[in-house]
This record gives sequence, C-alpha cells and structure tokens, in this order.
Amino acid sequence: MEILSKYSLGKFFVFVAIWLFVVSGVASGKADSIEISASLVVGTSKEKKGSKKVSDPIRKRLSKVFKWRNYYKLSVKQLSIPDDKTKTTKLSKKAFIKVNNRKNGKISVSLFSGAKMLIQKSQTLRTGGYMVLAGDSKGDSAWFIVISKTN
Amino acid sequence: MKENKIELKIQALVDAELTESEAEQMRECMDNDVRLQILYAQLIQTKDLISKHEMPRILPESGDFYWTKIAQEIGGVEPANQGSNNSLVIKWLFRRLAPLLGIATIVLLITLQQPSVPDLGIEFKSDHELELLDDDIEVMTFNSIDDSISIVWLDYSMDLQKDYMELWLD
Repeated sequence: MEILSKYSLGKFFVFVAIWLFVVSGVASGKADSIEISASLVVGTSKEKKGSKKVSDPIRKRLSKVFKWRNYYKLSVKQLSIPDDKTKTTKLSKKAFIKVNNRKNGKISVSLFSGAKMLIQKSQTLRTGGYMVLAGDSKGDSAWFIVISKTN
Repeated sequence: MKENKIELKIQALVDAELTESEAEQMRECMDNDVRLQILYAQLIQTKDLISKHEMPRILPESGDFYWTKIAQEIGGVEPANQGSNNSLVIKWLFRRLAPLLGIATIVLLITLQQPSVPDLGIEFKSDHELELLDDDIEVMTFNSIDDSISIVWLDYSMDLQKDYMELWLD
C-alpha cells in the first residue's frame, strides 16, 4: 500500500491523462479522413453471365427508379480523403471525378468527361447512403457513377 | 511607643493625611511641646527640600503604552498562526486536487478536439447543392424520402462502348 502513496497516485493519474490525450489524438487523426467508394456502373436490359454485378443494395435501389434490371460494374475505385482535401480518380476512358472532403461527412463531387466539367454535386453522405450521377449511354443502356461512404 | 505614634502623626500632618479634627488636635499638642515643634519644622524643611531638589525619574514609557505594545504583539502573532494553517490547507488541497485538475484539463482538451457537430446520422434538412456548368445539359434529380440515395440524371450521353467491351472480354 505504501507504493500507492499520495505522490505515486498523483503520478499515476497524470500518466493516465497523458495516455488518454495521446490515444484521443490518434483517434481524432483517423477520424479526419473520409473513405469513399466510386463505381462506374452500366445499366442494361441484357443479361451477361459471368460479368461483375453490383451489390444487391445498389441494384435494388436503382431498379426501383430505372427500367433496367441488370447493373454491372465497369470499374471501382476506393478513395481515402483527408479533411479539406481533393482526390481525383479515373473511372473510364474519358470520365473521371474529383472528390472534395468538406468535413463532417460532406463531400463535393465534380464529374468530368474529357477536359469538360459536366456537373458538381455536394451533399452530406452518410454511411450506407449513395450519391448517383447518371446518364444515357449507347443502345438500351445507361451509365451510373455510384458514390458511397464506407467508413 | 506613644512618642513614636505621635511622631508618625506629625509626619502625617506634614503630608496632609490627617482629618481636620486630628490636625487641630496635633497642633494643640505641638503648642505645648517644643520638641514636637522642632520635629515638625524639620519634617516641613525636609519635605520642602525633597520637593525642590529631588532628581526627576522619567519612565521610558507609560504603563498604558507598555500594555498597548503587548496587545499589539498578541494581535501580530495570531494572524501569523492563521496564515500558516491556511498554507497547510492549500498544500493539502493542491496535493489532492492537482491530479484531478490535470485529468479534467486533459478531458476538456480531448472534448475540444472532437468535431463541434457530432455526426448523429440525423438529417434535419437537405444540404444538397448542384452546380451545372453547361446550360445545354438538362438535369433531373431524385432523392429518396430517407435521403439514403440521391440521383442526378444528366441528359448527357457517355460512350462506354470501349469500357463495355473490356468488361465483356474480362
């Protein structure tokens, strides 16, 4: 019991406080980045066996809105973006997106086709939520860029 | 014995310590006794000499001033003791509370490091913003009721044929 004298107890509390401070700093540092998944998806009425299908939650949500029943992944990119930073990723031969982390889950996505910026969409993206940019493609199909938060 | 008593009474007469009747009685005695008259005259002379030639003795300080000084000393000691007690209490509190204050400060700093707006997953209003740079492109938007999916449909055809072919060839 002499070890836990008043001075040792004080030092113990100070040590615990410093440890908590360091751990919280590391935790807060991790929380400053947002993890984004961006997929280029094609929607079509034709079924292609052996192709990469989108996950069921995405397929169900898109099917409720659009006429196409089949949705296939053309490319998937994972982005980790710190606060106030922007990252660019190419999704197809011509299309690429710039994603800006505006803090607290809010992102801003700019869609480019070649050198031309088509649109910029900003919103708070929750985990499990989707931001979709879409348009026509050749034939009876459409392109979809599906952006979701993974952390 | 009687003579000694009479001499003390003459001394008292010289010092004006007798009543009026006693003084009158002593004067009558002295009128009838030459020896007492001489004694009385000597005592008067001695008293006169003492009063005129005695060296004055000046006290360094009056009695009142002396006691005042003692009272001041007592008053000065009591606050000092009280002060030492207070410092002991402060030291005791510091030893006990310093670690707690340290932890409280650290917890406060950690709290301040957290995002000012906690993400509770509750959306009170839509914060969607849309910026379209090409006026020729028409846009339609769709948001689900629970805001779990937002769709922007662009009247813009993107040729994915090559990507499509790569997909098919995979």
